[in-house]
Amino acid sequence: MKRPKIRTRVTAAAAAILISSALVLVQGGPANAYSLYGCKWSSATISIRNITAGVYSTASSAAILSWSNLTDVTLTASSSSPFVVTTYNANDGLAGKTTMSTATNAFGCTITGANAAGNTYTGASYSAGKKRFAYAHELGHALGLNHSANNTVMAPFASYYDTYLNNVPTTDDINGINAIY
Amino acid sequence: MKNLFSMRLRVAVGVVAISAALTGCATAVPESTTSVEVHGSRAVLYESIDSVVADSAVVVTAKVTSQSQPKDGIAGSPGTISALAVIEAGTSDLVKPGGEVFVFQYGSETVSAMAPLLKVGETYLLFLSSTALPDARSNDFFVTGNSAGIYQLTSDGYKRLGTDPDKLPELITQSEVAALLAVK
Repeated sequence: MKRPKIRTRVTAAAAAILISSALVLVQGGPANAYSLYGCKWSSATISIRNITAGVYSTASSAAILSWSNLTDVTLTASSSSPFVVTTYNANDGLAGKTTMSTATNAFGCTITGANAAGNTYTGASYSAGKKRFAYAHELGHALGLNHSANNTVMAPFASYYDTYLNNVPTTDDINGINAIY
Repeated sequence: MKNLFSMRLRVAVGVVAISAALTGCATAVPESTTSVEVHGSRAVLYESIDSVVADSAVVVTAKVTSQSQPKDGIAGSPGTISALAVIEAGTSDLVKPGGEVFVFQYGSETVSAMAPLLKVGETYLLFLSSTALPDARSNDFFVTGNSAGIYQLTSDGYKRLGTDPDKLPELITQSEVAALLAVK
């Protein structure tokens, strides 16, 4: 009388393991590469002030839209926001830079201001897609992401952007932002 | 009796409410520390020291004599300007031995950034690019490739300080410096 019960239990356990493994295979994919800065805005709805112009406005607007559309973050325009998207011009060897202010207390680290800037000096030779990529990268910093794998928006070097231009942001970047917010 | 009880109850509720409010205030505004950081993405990874030289306006060995933090920052970000006394200079007309160069870097002692900051009193081999900033002087420079063009003098020679995955030598000897200075 007991044997069939044991078999049933074993079969059920095996089935559970198989189903779990299958779910991991379906959902897991490659290991996450994203890296988090450890700070976040106080809400997933974040106001943003884009003061770029011309081709840099086109690029930055597309980048803002991509983060807003593809992640759990909602970016809304506001002329008084402490999150500024802009340009600068310097031969500093950078495609762009982001300056962030944060406040840390017992509850965690909050981003209180950010200036995400595309460099027009290096950007002058960039295609429209590469300019957009540069802004997507700086916005990723401003939202709380650190540098990540070479095939993501958060790749540490703009020289990688040429290879991965068509996928902005990548699944890994999206997972990173959704893990924060 | 009923009124007295009601009054006592109101007073008790009031005391509890005030206590709760005070306690609430104490936990709602915990002490905060603020900080500023500069993040960025380098435009180019270098495949060789020759490619760093090619992208540089000048190559020098120089000693840091002083530093300052401009009030308005550098290109909109907190930064440090190091003044250096030039020891050796390459073929560029922009800089001569005995002259002075100013190196602009993002970050400071209190603001972290992407590249190691120069230190007062230390001697470096530097690959430098003109800043392209408004009102820049001819001897104002950024480090070529942000962190790529910084080597610090040690007893063994000039040691690379950058940690990015450029394909650059970790150590440049004095004789190799002479060869580099002959190029630019």
